[in-house]
Amino acid sequence: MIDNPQHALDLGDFALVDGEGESGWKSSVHASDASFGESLPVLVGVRSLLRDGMSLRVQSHENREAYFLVEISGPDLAAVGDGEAALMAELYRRNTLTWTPPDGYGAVTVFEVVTSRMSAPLDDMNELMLKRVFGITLTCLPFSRSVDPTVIGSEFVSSDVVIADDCESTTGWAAATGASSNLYPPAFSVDSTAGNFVTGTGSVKVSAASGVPVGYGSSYLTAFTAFGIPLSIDASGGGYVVCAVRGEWIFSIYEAHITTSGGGREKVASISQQAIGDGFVSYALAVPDASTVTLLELEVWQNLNVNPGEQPPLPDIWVDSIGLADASTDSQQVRSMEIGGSARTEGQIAISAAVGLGDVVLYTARDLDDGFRPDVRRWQTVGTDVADSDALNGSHLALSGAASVFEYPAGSLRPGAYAVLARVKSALGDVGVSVAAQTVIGSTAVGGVESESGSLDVGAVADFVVMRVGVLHLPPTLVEATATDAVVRFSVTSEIAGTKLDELMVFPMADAALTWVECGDGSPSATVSSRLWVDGPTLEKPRGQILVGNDENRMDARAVRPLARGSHMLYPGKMLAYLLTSAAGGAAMSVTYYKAWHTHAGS
Amino acid sequence: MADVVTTWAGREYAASDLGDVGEIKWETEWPFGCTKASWQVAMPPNSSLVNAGRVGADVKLYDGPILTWGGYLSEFEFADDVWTFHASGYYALAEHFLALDATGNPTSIPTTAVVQAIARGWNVTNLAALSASPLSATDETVEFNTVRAVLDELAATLGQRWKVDEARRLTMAADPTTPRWFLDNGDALRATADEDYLTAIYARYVAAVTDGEPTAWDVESDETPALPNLRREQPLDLTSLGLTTGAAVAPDVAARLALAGTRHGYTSGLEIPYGDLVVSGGAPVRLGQVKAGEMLRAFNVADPAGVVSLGLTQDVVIGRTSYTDGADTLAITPVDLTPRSLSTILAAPQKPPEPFVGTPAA
Repeated sequence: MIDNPQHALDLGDFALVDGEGESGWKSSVHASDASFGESLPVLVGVRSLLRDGMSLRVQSHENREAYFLVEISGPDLAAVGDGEAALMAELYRRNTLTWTPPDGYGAVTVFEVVTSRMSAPLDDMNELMLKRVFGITLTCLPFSRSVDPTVIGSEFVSSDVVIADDCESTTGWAAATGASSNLYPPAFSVDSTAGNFVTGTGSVKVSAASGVPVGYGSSYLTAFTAFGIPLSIDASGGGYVVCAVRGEWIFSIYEAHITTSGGGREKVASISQQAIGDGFVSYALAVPDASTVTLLELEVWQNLNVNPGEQPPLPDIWVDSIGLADASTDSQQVRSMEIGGSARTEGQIAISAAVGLGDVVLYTARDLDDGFRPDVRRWQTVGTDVADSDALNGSHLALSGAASVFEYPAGSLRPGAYAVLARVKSALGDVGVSVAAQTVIGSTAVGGVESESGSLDVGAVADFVVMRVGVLHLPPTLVEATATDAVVRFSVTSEIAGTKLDELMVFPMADAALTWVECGDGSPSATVSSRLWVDGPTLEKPRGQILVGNDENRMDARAVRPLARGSHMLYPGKMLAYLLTSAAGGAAMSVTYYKAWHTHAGS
Repeated sequence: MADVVTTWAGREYAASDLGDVGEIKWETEWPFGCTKASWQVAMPPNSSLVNAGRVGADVKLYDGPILTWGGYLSEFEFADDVWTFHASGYYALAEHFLALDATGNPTSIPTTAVVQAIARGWNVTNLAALSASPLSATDETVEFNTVRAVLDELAATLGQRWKVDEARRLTMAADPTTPRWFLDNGDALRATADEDYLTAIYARYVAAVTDGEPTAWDVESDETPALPNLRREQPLDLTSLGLTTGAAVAPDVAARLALAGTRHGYTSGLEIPYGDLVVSGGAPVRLGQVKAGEMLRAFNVADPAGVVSLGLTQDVVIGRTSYTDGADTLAITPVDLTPRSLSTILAAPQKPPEPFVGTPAA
């Protein structure tokens, strides 16, 4: 029991609990019938081949209705009348309801009140006792929020990694204690087989020495392996520790800890995970303080979604290419963001650079830990690069003639429809891109071909533009595991002579949003913007807004007509963000949002 | 998430700038391409009709960043604090353009009719390989025909169908023969009708002309082998084409027989939930991107007798799609829909379009 409860319940400026007014009225809330309401989900049935039972999906949530009995008492009924007027001033309009839990440690919760109403039944005994009880019903948005907004400032991680340990020797590698209950003592060896390492001559293979996978006997199997890698990386200028990891089953980094000479052992989160070929995924971990990194501990989680029927050999892990990377200066950047709270919410995304941003494409989606990133040209296997300083990639491909080929790891492409955009230019007025995609296993193409083509009349402009190509359903043939040899081969040509391709981008369309704005390039001015704000919808601005400008406090911000817009929903957990700023390298992106909670804020 | 962009006098407006937008729906058909779309905007009743909502504005519907439907704003209405805008596809304008040559005389040459209609203001780009030979006996016809009548007639003689897609491109092609989408949920088109079922066509044409009047007629026929009691014959009057020969008319007759289909019509369509429609490799299809004119393969099918046969597949050319943005289901009907329900019959155009009228040779 709490000895001296300090709870508070405020509706706007009116304190419902222990409030008081000048003329002497006091307010309190009855505990009986008090409720924050419940938000009911809107469910949609999903037809399937299941004969018994039905699969349901939550489409959205309805408003909730909070209800309180507020008692206003005073030295006389005139004072009580004043109190009722003060309460009425907060009702029948937009407002906020703030709940402070009694123990002093619980986080303060805010409910956004859409509208409210009051009922005032006549009670003769209460009148004689100089008090009145009012029932107030507050219609609120389904989820509550924290009091203060959370800001995720961001840099992106450069893809240039200065390798500090190329994993050619196992000296000093040792088992580490992890948080989970099933750990398999690892054994270390160097693996130089082609296809099992990324840089140098080999990688370190971490094999679990013994144990039984979790869930043996059920329909899934999970394995955790925790190990520590001794390092000596000078991170006095900050930066990110980057390592490449590959497992045998579906894998990801469950927990990572970095120990530094200046700060001790800290848990770190991965800022980005990107597939880099041969099943390897590159993880970037922020260095906790600016000193020397001495130890990197990883706990890798692997999951097999089927039970093979007999105890399988424990899966191996390969680690390679450990080094340090700086903040990115690229025009195409990808990162993960950790969204707090327990319910989805909208937020504001601000993009800024020192010069005009150029063509901006901002894409957000859930991060499924599959190493996905939208740009395809990094997987180029066939094509003649022509140096071009205007191109994001430093060179362009002439599309007429033999097809340019990109081979993208199939395990990183979540199944569904993809919007395909391309950055192209032509001196001749029309541009066109035709893409054909097919799944390739080993070096044999299997299954059908998905193809799409698009064209655009760019007039006399000879600069790079971003254009829509169309929709591709990928992967053309589904593959089961993430760590697979299968790739999706994109063959890109053009039926329009003179088209030059800088980049091809594929964006999954489900549960995602894409905003595309032309901000102008060059020095910031009234028509060239170095800042872009994408604001999600709120009760005040139900359609959100997209603004450009140059002043960080939005003093010169103005609305702009985007070429595409989406609603950038933020889901708790990991979100993936991709940012293309064609004229500004290393643009920064910060996300401001209120953490949303079911009822009580967690922080 | 879809967005509606209207263009008036060279300037683009997004419907979402006017107010809250909801209920964005669009339909496509094969033939014809983009046919109908509608969306609702919450604006107060006294809003002056802004340029964004003017009748005649070009309309583009985007699904995310992808252009999915194109047409022009045709009507609007106001009820319950909500404005509903309706758009029609550019194909509908073909009925309002006459088939004229550069001097304004009626023509029966398809490519001239289309090129001149575009020059006079039909807002499409022609990518179809249209024939330069006249459909009638003479280049110039006595009666006026609409561009739509010319396109319908040309398509029928080739056994093809025409459409204007979301990027305003006019194309003409035969029905697809390989499926693009695969339906995985055990559902299929099961109700069949035999009203439009035919196995033989007999076409009557003018074989000789004296002093401008037809004096002799002849018949050209085509048929496919029919099962017992399933032979259906249908006449076809080609005398409006003027003086012609059996050899010239034979490909037309064969094409019409193929187009009409020696197959039963269907009396209902399908409602397909998300996740059940996939591409051949298994990835689920985004329902708003399915367009009429593509072929769908369903597994577990009814044969003409109505018996569900396991292991067989049914290939259907989609004749019509209807989708509401954000919905979890897509409604499709096949090309051979024989309307049986009152609502479908009423929805069919009350006034059928004018057929092509040719001129006999002098």
